Amino acid sequence: MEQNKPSIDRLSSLPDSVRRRILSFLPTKFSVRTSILARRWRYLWSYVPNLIFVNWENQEIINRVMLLNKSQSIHTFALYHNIECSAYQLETWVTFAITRRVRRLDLYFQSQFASLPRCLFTCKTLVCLRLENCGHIPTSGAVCLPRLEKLYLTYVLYEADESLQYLISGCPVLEELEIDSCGAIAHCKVSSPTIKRLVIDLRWGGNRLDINTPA
Amino acid sequence: MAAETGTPTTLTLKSNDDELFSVAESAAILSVTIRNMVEDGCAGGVIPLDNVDGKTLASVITYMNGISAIPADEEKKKSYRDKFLSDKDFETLADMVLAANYLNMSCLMDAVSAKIAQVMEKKSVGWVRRKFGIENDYTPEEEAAVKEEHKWTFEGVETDDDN
Repeated sequence: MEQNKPSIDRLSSLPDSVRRRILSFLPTKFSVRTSILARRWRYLWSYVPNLIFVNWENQEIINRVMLLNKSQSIHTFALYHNIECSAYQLETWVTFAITRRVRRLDLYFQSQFASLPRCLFTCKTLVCLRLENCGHIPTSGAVCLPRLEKLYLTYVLYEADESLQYLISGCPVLEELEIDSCGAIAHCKVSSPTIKRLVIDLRWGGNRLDINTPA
Repeated sequence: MAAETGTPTTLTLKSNDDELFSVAESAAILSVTIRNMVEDGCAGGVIPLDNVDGKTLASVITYMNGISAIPADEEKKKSYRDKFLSDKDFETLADMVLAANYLNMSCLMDAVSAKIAQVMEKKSVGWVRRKFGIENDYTPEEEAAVKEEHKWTFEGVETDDDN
């Protein structure tokens, strides 16, 4: 069975940048786990620019991992979680990600509805945003996501029918928009000169829909 | 780039074990390393690739030809990459990631890195060490300390160490 005998230390001989890249595809739990492999691996995980929490962590662990993370900038911050988390706690995490110039943010709450922090709507570095089971999308105040290209909203709550269009108006380069189960909106309006791909799932409710995009 | 536009230019690549390969320039310049050589005019004769062996280079060239034949359609390119990597064993993947890094091919790098990560995720620490020939240079005390420090990452993990 074990006839292959790697004579060189294949993975450890790779430059740190390559090993970091491999780890960046792992959920954070598994990238932290590689610290046990050997000395050269001990702190590598803390330089991985992706933080992907998939329901194995409690708040204390997430806080600890974030505190120990040394990446200058965060590429992806993803929270696919079942934890009960206060609005204050979520704001702390999102603020951390924004401070590190996050490009992709996924907030996916499985059972608990989560209350979104306002700072999320003025993040200048965000390119891709995915929200599930959280809210509310505001109707007033600053909404400015100058780099946002992709926006996915599933079971998201809106302050009012106009919230969706208010959010879209703050995204001058938005190309892709997916809305799933926007039953909370009676009159759904999407108007954008930049959207190239638009998917709206209208389950739950006889909504009225107005679309004005090049898509 | 090639002076005579319109005529497909062929490059000759040489692996570190002296195998020669012909490949269309349009496919080969997916490698930024090769593209730079072409642009600097050093691609007239044979391009030596000192960090890639013949077996790996043959595989990379198959990928270059396959992916460059697909028009700009990210979905199709992705499914080609998935299929291309699906039958590669772990050792081959490790060789490919080294080659992709040396050749500076970011799309192949990402695809191979993701695939390696996907395999590693489900395996035990011992399996990963064995497959990649990683020498455990911790003392037993140090190893126990690291394990204790990140205890949560070892909880609830089911590993499957086949292959």
